Amino acid sequence: MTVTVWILIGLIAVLILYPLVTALLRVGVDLATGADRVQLTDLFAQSSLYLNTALLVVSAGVLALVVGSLLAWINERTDATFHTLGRVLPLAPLLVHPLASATGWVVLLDPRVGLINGWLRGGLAPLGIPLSTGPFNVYSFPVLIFVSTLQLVPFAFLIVSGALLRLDPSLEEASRVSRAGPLRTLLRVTLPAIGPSLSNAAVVTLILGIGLFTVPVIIGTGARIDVLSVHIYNLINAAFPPKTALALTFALMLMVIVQALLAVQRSSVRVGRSAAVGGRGFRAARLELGPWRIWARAFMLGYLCAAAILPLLGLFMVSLQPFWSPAIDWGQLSLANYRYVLLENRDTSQALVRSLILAGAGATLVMLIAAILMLHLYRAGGRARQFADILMAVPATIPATVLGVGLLIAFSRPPIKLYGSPVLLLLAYFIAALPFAARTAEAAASDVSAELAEASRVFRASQLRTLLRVQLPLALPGLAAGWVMVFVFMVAETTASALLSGTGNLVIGRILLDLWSNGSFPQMTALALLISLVDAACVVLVLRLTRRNFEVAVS
Amino acid sequence: VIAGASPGAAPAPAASGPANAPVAPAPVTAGIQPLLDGARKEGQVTVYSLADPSILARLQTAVQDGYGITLNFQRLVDAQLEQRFGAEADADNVQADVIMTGDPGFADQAVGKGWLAKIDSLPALASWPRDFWNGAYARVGVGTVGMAWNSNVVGASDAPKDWTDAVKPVFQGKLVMADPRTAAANMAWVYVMRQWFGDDFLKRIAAQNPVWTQSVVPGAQSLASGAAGLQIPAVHAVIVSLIGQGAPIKELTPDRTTGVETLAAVTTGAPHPSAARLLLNYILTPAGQALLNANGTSPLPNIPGTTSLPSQYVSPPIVEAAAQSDQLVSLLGLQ
Repeated sequence: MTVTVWILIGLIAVLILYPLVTALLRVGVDLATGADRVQLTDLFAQSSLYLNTALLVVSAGVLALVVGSLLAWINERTDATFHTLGRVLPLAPLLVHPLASATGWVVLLDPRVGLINGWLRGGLAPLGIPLSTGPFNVYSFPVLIFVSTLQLVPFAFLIVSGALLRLDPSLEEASRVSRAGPLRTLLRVTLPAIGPSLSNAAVVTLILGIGLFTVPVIIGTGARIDVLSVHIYNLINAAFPPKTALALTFALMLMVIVQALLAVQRSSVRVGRSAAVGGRGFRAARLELGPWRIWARAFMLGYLCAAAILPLLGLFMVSLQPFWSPAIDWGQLSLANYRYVLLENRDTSQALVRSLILAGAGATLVMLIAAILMLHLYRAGGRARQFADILMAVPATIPATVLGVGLLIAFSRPPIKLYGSPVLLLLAYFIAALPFAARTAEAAASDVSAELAEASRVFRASQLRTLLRVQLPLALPGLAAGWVMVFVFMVAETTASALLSGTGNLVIGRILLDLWSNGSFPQMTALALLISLVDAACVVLVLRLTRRNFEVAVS
Repeated sequence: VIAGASPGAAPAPAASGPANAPVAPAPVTAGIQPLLDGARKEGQVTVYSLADPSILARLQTAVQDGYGITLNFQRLVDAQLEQRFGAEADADNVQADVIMTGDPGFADQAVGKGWLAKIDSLPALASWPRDFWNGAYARVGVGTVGMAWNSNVVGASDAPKDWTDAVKPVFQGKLVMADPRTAAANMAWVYVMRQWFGDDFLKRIAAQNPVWTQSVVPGAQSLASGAAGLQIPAVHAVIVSLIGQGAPIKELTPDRTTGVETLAAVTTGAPHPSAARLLLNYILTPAGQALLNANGTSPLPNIPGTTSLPSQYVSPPIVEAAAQSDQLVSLLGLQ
């Protein structure tokens, strides 16, 4: 068993490091030989690229942290909570394909034909404010930040609400008993106690923000706001010959920035400062918000509307039309676009199926491997545990663009040619999902008491048998919740997919992007809605089958 | 700047063109039986093409119904097609059987690299004009470019009459244009505009603050929605199919214009070589020409549904435009 574990760890190490090292060597060679004419000056030719990226990532990251923490606090600590529903609600946007939510906002806020703009103009005109465009413009920096924030909130929420759930509320009660007001309690007790988690959430949102591609490619391109992730994609995809070496150099620079961020975080958070007293399962009195309760609830619902409901409704309107038009001609509405993407166009229907199969296979594979490692190592500890922990966390620090470029270069030339094969995408998804899979598997492993495994061993069951017959079944609910999240993530993956998916291995992210930039917008909206629907259906089904709800994933 | 309308600007044809007619199955013409047998064994054929997706969908139906072969297509603008196909050919991993591009510079380069199959004989080549075939690729059609506008956004009195009208104040913030860097023919159009109207014209276009799209297709869609008011250059075939769906679009092809000349070739190492040749053969027949060039211009005479070229049409100067692309792009305020 120990040998198996080490073999698994070794395989994962090779899988992660091979593309990165190959990419690094390639850049070194290109810089040294001047092939592809990469020069360091090319990296800094366009300073707006860095300013835009920094402005977007920092603003959206900070906003997401604030909104996500607020949602978590309302849910875990106040009487405005919707209880279980409240824990699912902030995650609902994850079910909406990120390209769908970005294009949904285009439909709503296009300066000329956006639906919301149209209604607002209709309302403003009688007030003596006649407008021919606006008042909002989707192709602007504020909206770019707004929609990016919506995408990042669930991740901040997950981390912060997890921390609040683990934090013994008796500390906060003690504060209240000593006559400290709610605000004072929040600032002096709650926030410091979950400080490490907050800083973790901040770093996670920043890293995700740096890798964010879908929103900038739709809204940023229209607004002519160039950011690094899209720039890298364009270097490879919109130029001939492709400037792969330059793209790679940019990508590696992103990684350096991310590593620097992590170093800062590590040095600023000293381990053991968190005041996580006690265990889980507290049912403390919730803070009564009084008149604020309704506002807190409105805030949660407002978030749900902005992140999922409104953009989906906008897309739905367009998907029934032959071409996108703000003036809805009821006689023209039909399901023709759905028929086309599902039945008539083989590419789209196959990509839909391929994405679901890949995500199903990928999620199963990554959860299985993470479960075997974590179940075995959780009690065993030792060097293997340390090594596995570090290794499986590494991909969280690799922006998806870097992963895509690295895999593209590493596996599209001899000795290993996987270009055009679904296996290449499976590898990308596997690597990208590894950190999350490891974390959920670890949480699931902690639910399995050591005594049961020991009992099994007392009865002379082999380690493998113990794992398969005792530990895995016990950890299954937790693992299933993790599986769901990984599955959803893989279906939605667009950044690496855009780089790695081609004729033989078209997946949904790539097709949506192609339909957006080259094809029919109503067809794209139909497909985006379908994939969100199928996604949601799969999730509900799996949760039904495992008779658990999202609470497991969150806690 | 040369102002004023050209007197004989071609009027936009009726919406119900052949682009919206039912698709006729590809006919089994003389001499293709051996190709057909081979192609049926292969079962499918993959095309990378810059053609309008609705035309590619019709091609798909014709080939499926006539030959029983599944056609997979990817609509890729020149730069994307070149990148994708180039990377695949380089890695010795060709996925496309047939490519159709608007960039003869790339096609010649591909010939030089041995990426395009040398074809000695195809049944349809017997009646194909020699000037339009060079042994590796055929020039299979011309689509002229013009101006298209949303009649709800642009009033009848403001309707443009020539290219130079695009810089009128009424179109400020309402222009939608395809980024010329993504397609060779779009760059050639910019080059031609500069030749005719000077640097100042391009600068004034930039001052109109146009919305740039990846290709003419999404631009036409935003025109249909009213998000944009005027598209230049607009491709007739794309506009016609939207008008057919009821979009409030009007268009005009100025007499003095250029276009997109589509090249088609079979790739070396095509995964489905017989099906690839069969498809190219079909494209060169009168039936294939009628489908591909519905509302365009065919090298073959008397093809129903096609039009003749405007009186002052110039072939797109692709190579010259590519040489000046940096200058052109910067005049348009894109860099």
